[in-house]
Amino acid sequence: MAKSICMKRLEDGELVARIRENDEQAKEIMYRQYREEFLGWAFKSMFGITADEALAVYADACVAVWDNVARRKYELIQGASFKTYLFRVAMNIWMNMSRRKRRTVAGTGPEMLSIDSFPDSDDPVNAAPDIFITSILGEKDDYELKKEIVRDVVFNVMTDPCQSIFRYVYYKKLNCSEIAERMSYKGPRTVITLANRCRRKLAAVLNDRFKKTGLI
Amino acid sequence: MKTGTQKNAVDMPSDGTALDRIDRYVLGHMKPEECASFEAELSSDPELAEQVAVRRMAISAIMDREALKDDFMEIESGIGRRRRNTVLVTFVTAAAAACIAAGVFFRNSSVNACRAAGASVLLAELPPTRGGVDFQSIAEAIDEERYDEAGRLIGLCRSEPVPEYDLSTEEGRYKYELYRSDMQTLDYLEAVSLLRQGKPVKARRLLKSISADGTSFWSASAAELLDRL
Repeated sequence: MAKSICMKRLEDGELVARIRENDEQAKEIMYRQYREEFLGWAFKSMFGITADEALAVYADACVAVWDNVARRKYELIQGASFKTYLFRVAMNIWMNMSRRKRRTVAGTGPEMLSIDSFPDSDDPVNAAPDIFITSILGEKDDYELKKEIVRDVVFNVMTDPCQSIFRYVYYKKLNCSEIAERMSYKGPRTVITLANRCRRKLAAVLNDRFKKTGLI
Repeated sequence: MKTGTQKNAVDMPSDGTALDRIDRYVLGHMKPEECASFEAELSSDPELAEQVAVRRMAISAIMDREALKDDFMEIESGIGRRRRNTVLVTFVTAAAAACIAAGVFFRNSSVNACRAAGASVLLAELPPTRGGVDFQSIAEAIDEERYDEAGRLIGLCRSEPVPEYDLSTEEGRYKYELYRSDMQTLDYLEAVSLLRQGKPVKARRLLKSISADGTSFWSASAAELLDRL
């Protein structure tokens, strides 16, 4: 795909439509379109954020928004801009991130932070005031609904260190020693123990959600 | 749905990974015999089957999301790379411009020094010809900045066939020395002409050979001129 530095700026409606079509070029357009403006806004609005953190927050927000719009087929309500939605999601991400940073007790090594030291969830990262989004278009069958719930729990309920463990185990496909090194754990057994606990926690939360939605 | 901690006792992995039994089945890491055994268990255990289905959804969601994140990180890397390349190109361009400017500056300085050195030589102080070469016409041409004419005259003198001298006689050797002296003066005149024309490279080459010739009357003068360049 030929990449152009000067990319056409997309209107909200066109951007949402292209995201829903999973248009690859729209990823780069969307990312570039709001990047500079976001960084300027982030340094003013997100107290204490570093440049690296701002870029990480922006990338996570783009991922969350893209995923939400593409998969859940959300549509923006007239009068609400895509940019505002994206920035609001980014703010949620930053608030969760900075809250987690504040929870780290001075002198506490990484292994002292277990999954139980965090509440079950922070603010859902893809949450936005209802004025920004309509409800899901169309009815979903049980299977699709279950998939949505799984995604919601994995990305919005499970927090670090579980999210990192899942990323390294399932996506990066690292072995326990490599994960231990990356996460500064004592050794591979710690990783195994933590991975098992994260899986149990995930199963427990999902079980609870499925019951509440009547899926089981 | 039970959490399945008793039913699905987590295996201690022998492959160094943190995958449990369900993971290994979902990701296709089981050997055929183990897989067949597990599938037999699945068919008779709906709870296990449900866990497998949910785990499959979770793993699929994680992989899709991380791939999406990688896409955006790659876009960010591209921006960073383009910015670094822009900075690099700007720097290289600026450096090249500076080098060219410095080169022009130094070249101009060198040419000026070259001309100044040539101007400092008083051609009226040339010794009279010994072997019959007409230095005067050449010196006048150089003083009047008729450098092409001077070069033509020098070339004419050089193109004359070397006279034959009987080197076995004292007179023969003396006349040969006079001839050689004139040739060395021609070289010196050519060097002065090149200096006054602002051609430091050619002048330097000739002056080096003159200064290296221990028999030349002009070797000391050539060395002084080289110092000034």
